[in-house]
Amino acid sequence: MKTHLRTHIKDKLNAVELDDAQYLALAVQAQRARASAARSRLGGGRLRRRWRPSLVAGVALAATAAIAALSMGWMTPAVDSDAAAPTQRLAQAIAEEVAGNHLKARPLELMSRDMGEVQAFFTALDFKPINSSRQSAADGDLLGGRYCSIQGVSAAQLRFQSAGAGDTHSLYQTVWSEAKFGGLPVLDHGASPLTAYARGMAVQIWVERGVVFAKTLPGGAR
Amino acid sequence: MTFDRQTLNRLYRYCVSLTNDEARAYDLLQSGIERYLRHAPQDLAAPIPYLQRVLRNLYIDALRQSHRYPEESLEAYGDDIVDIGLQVLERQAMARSDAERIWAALNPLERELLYFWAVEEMTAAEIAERLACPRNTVLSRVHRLRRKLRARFADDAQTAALEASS
Repeated sequence: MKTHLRTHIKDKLNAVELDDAQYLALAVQAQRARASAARSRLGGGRLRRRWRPSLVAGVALAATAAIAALSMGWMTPAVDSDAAAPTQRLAQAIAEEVAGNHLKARPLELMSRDMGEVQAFFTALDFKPINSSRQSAADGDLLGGRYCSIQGVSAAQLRFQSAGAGDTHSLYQTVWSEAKFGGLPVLDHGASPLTAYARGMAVQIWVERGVVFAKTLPGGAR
Repeated sequence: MTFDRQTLNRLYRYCVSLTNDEARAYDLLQSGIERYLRHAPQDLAAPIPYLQRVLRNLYIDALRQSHRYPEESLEAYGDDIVDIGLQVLERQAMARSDAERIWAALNPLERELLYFWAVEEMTAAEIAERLACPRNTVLSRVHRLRRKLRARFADDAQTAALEASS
């Protein structure tokens, strides 16, 4: 059926919409940019304005690619595509995403060793980043954090550096929901973290006090 | 300016019209918003056109850096262009698949022109004002666009005739 060119163009472009994760990321960006501009007008502050245009798109693409790979059966050897339980698939997808982001080592938006400051920084999240019982002195010192996402859900990425070798590892946190993260082990119920492997790294995943954690192990230790 | 969902989607569509790629459009939109919030005057009367110019300039800069910016022809066009205007596009009817093929073959400036015409429903004069260029420049682009459409349909017609005769 023939239709006017104008109608084709209009329909085509009006069908294009930001998804929820993209919209949220832009809203967060606008909020942060406004806050940064306000701070600049007032004489500056401690927060570093470091924004990378391709971050969210990159994360979204990585997540999409991971999901597509999962759905098309291109599984990594860690999980068999046919027999894998949904939880293992989810853990593998998270590990792929988290390991990829960790290796990119994008600049921190807040540099601070103080967890209180880090909590105060992440104002656009639906939860408050917390200390996990799985963190210990061996994990090293907190360096700071930046916004990111896990499986399309806005998240906080905290970076730590060990005192000895100077290795860094990332601890991702996002809000738990049954729909998105149901099946992941809940430490409060006595479960132990899941470990999945991606890009030569080990990633531990667990839920604690309503927060999903994903931690890259220093040196990719098993 | 409030970046509500409707506004962001409108700007996103404009970026898609420039880039013809949703991922690049999203990156462009992020860059544009960042620049807008950093540099835009506080008392802007028309923030969306301003932001569209920011997005356009960013994209053209990126194309120039990658040497993919479509050069404007200096060829002079006859007076008939002025008389034709955007009405020639109004009469173009085609199948959806043809429209998709044409869209994919257009350059960013041509897609932008179609965006303003089809989605924002602007006249040639309004488009010229938005792009800060003479109206004849817009009409020249329409003229070239029409030639491209004709060439496309001529190719299709030839192919169909060849297939029918073989």
